[in-house]
Amino acid sequence: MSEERTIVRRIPLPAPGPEGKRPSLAAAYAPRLSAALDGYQEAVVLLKGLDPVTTELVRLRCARLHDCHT
Amino acid sequence: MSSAVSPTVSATLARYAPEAGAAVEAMHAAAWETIDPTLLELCRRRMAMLHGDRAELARVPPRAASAGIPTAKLDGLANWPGSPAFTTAERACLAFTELFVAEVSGITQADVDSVLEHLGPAQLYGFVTALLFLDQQQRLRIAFDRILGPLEVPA
Repeated sequence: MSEERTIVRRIPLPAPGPEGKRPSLAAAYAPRLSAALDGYQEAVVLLKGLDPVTTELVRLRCARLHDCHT
Repeated sequence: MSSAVSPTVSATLARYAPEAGAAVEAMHAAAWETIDPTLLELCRRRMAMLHGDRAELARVPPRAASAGIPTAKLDGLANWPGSPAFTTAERACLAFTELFVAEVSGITQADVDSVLEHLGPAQLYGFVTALLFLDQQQRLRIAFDRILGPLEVPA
């Protein structure tokens, strides 16, 4: 199933590149901001203060509160 | 040059989670160097009002300070819907910011479209990412304050 059929488009998707492949929204629209966010998330998951199970439970609970299904 | 990040957040993360602190600094530097500083500062301040974050309202990030935002806008921000000082683009972004803080999952296509009339898709994507950084920082600052108490922040 194509990407266009599986998601609701809130903003126009980036145009496909020369090989016909569509870049990710992050790479096409906000590469610096997205890279900074990735760096933060990588740093957070490496923190040792909270065990991985509790971290995941907190993450899932936050997602439920935000009605986030990804 | 001083940081774009709240001194409380910077100092707390430096003490307890330095790797995450460095990443937060990079996020905010990217946001202020990418998004229009006047727009970002108006939204940052409106967000602080909604969070009841007086410390955030009292400080001015370096890029915002150099943007030269008219006093009428800063003074009228609490009642922006009724103030003539704001552009239609600023109004759309302020309304979007309020939704982002109050109920992010309640944002509709109409809310997105109202911002898209003024910002292109790439600018909107960057703007929303920057809102995330600002919102996260203000919530962190307030949480740190409640959990750890007032922190001594180096001048």
